[in-house]
Amino acid sequence: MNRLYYIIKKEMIELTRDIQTYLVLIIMPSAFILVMSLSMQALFQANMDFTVSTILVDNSRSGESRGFIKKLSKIDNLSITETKTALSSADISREILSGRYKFGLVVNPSFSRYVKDLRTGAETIPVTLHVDPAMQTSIQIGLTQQMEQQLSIFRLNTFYDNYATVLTYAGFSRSNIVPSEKGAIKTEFAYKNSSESIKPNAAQQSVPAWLVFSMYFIVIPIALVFHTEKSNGTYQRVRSINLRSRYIIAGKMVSYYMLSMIQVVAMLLVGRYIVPLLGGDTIQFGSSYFSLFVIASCTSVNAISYGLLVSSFSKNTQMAGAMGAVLVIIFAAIGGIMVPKFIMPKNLQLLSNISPLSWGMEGFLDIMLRKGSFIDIIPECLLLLGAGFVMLCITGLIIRKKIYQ
Amino acid sequence: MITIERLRKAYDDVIALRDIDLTIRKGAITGLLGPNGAGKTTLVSILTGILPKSGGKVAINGLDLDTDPDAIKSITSFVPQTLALYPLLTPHENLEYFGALYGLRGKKLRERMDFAIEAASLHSFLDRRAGKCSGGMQRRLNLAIGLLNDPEILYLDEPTVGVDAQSRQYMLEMIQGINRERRTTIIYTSHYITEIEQISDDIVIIDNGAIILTGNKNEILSADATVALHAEVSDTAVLDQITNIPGVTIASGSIYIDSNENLCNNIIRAVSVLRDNNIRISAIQSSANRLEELYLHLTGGRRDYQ
Repeated sequence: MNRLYYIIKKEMIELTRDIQTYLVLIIMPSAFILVMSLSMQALFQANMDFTVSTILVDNSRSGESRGFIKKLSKIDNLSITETKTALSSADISREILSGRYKFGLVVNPSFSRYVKDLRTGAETIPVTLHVDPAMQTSIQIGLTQQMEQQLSIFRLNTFYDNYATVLTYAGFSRSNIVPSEKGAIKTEFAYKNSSESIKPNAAQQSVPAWLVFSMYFIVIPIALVFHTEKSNGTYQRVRSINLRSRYIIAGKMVSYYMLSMIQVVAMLLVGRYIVPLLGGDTIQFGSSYFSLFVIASCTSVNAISYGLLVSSFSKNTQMAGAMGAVLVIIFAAIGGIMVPKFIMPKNLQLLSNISPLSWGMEGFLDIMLRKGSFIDIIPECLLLLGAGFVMLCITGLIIRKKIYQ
Repeated sequence: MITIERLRKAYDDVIALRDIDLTIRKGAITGLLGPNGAGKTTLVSILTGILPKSGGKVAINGLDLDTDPDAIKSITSFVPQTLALYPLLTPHENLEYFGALYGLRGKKLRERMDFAIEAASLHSFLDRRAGKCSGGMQRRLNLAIGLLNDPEILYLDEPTVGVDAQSRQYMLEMIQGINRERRTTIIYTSHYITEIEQISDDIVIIDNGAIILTGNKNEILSADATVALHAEVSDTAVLDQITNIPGVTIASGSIYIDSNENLCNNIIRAVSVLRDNNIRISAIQSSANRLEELYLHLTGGRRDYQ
């Protein structure tokens, strides 16, 4: 028992004196639980507490359209902003792709006739819904169905109002109205380039997210090599040679960049060729291979910089691996990798803007789903490279201070 | 030659080196001894440019460490105590990698690699992963890497740690060979006092951040040495004759002849007295200083060595 006591005492002393252990065991998991609880909250509530920002254009400008818009405002999950400006489909797509809105709802001039005349079919396209291709299909379908239901009820109510006397005489009451028609709202996806079409599917939507997520796990091999070199004295040896630390960092950047690119290609090929073999949807690589390469490169540079920063900051391989992995999961949760950003609470949505994984994912989505071009990914690329540069500078300082001195 | 003047190193509130003055001879093997935490590694780390110093001046082969650190690095090489190599690479690949870091390329790189391979006898293991080689072989590779830039000054930090007696002997001979053939100045730190005694020309003992002994090994070890003649002498007249010889004392039945005096002459005189009185000498012992005893004495008897 005496031995056991001293063993436990020694372990406790070591643990209480190790700040990084607190980080990995307490602070990071706490942050993770917080983030995940908040972000998943909406999914597990009976009444999903999220709002999809929607821009609405009323091109019908009729009493019917006003009534319908009033009905739509009762759908809890829609946050409608009506614009008085006449917007074309391209304008609405642009609004969606800017990130301000997820839906663009256009009440077309044919709407009034469609509502008043039950003989008019859905082919007249009374309403057009523009959708961000990156939006989760299940949520998009659910909301579209709610809108269609509202439209159907509104249409039948209008019909009932017009023929109330006759219908009442015939024994038909308002409570007998059952919405039935589907397809009155035509769904169109908002693309940056309208010449091609990429149909959103589960694989197309999820592969970019998980691709970015996995890219950041490069922190583990980086940490392994980094700490092996640190502990076996190769850094000391290199330091005694006439060689600057920036060469070491650059050498690592290049080699891990190549590894990261191999990872990207492998994952995209799996999405394209292996997932369909197992019964899933295939993915398309998007509008531009060059842009895909650029966003993959920028994400890779950011991920490697992150790996180097975590490695240089941490004390040993185990700590670096744990810290690096947990931080990636936290940034993934914040950044909308695990849960769509728009269903997160507002404050968390704001926080998602600081997640490099979010930048990378949005860049990939721009190319693979929204058919964007190089220009569209420039903001994400600048953020990724800028943050990468800052992380590298900090890494350089830590290496100089902690390892060499 | 390495000239160190008032070298000082402090880590926050801990002083690792206290205004050290030291001269290391060119072309000599200098053994650096000291207990754990004495400042050996700090001293070597400063000389190799790994650590910045807090004060003082260091000149290495005429180059100032403050103004010519890069030039100094190009003529020195450091072999760390740990196996500073890549276990997944073969010895050949390791040599190639570090050779390239030294700035070698093409024919020059191949020549230097061949020299290092030859010096460390690595031929048979060149294409095996370094991590799969024996401990002794990895140690030799570790040392071979340090030879790639043909250094004028070679710092060896406990280069034989963890190897068997045969490999250790092989490495010591290898180090002596390098020193002999290329006149390389070698600074050798080790916990193995016998190693230092075996290969060093000069010895530096450091403790608590200060140099407590420095000088030529032979001079240090022969200082205060004595020759003891063991004989049974009971005749007081004979004892008087013997004790009248300068530098000769008698204790516990043995006759001690101090080497600081005229050793040979005194031995002859003492032996003559004994012979003239038909006293048989049962044994003769030379009691030169042993480095281990000296080291323990100087460092306060701390047994931080093997």
